[in-house]
Amino acid sequence: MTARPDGTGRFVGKIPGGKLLKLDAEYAGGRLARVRIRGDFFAHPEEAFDRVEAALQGVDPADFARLLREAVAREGVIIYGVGVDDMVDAFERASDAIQVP
Amino acid sequence: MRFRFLETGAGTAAFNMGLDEAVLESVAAGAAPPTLRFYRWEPRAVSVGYFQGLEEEVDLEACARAGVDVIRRATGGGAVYHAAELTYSIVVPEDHPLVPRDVLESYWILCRGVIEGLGRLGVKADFAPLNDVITGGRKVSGNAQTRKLGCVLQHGTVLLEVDVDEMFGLLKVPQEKLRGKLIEDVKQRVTSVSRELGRTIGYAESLDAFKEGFAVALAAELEPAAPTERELARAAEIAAEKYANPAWNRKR
Repeated sequence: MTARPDGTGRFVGKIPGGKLLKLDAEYAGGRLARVRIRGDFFAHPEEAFDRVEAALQGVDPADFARLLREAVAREGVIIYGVGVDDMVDAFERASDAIQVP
Repeated sequence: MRFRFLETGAGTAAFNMGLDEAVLESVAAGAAPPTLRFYRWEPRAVSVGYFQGLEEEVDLEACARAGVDVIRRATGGGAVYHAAELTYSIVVPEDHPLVPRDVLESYWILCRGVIEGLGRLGVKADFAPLNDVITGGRKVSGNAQTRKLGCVLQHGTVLLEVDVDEMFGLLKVPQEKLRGKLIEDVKQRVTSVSRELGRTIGYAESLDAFKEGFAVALAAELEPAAPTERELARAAEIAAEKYANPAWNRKR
């Protein structure tokens, strides 16, 4: 993955046959300062998805996909309406759409 | 099969969500049998799904001006405007024969109560995965489920009347310039019992149909009851500590 400028990128899209996914990726100093994953999907247990999201804060963007998959497996969270691959794709698209402040 | 039946009438958003959770706790503790509850919202309210951004989805100033409650649900799914509707909740232990382990299948099973109830009112409806009930291709009921403490809590709404313009006056849209188109799309995709029947059906009038519908769908004998004092006290606690707490409602 190429180096990202500091700023925030956003993906908003309805997953075909699924739910709406909104992902914000905020970069600072080449790292993922903050990622926010929102939408009208379902995840069980809900709090486990909070922990998945928390595990992605401040990580090297090149590790995002691996860390997301590992955290989902570790937390035993099952997501409905949006796939993990959709979240990875949304992250990459958000990262390609950074708006430099 | 034995189900407790609660008809708790109108409640605030925080109380309504607090009581759903208090019932979950008492069923989980074995202090109450599986429970079906019907209720409505006073004042009207907007609820957002667990994973939605509150400020991103809801025009908080417009809600405050209109005296509309705003709350985050414990369940996923989308933003809902709770006005002229019947809301139900079902709490069942996860190991109950009625509930498949598969979440998608369990939505279908539990939504059959809505479908049977609508049928009794003269509205032919079907389940539309993941979590909707539709009639004539239009959504008439949205449903959401969580699993906690070894129990399933599914709650959902049946739209008795719908005012899409009023609803969008309280919600934000992703792109303001597309607001008009979005409203027209939603008008095409959403309907209500009253619209389908060509006459106004209110909460009180709908109760018997849905009570019968759920009894048939759950193959259950519904035993009318009131929430216990313990449940009401816990509902008030949960309402105050969680659902009326900005830390919860603004957590995303």
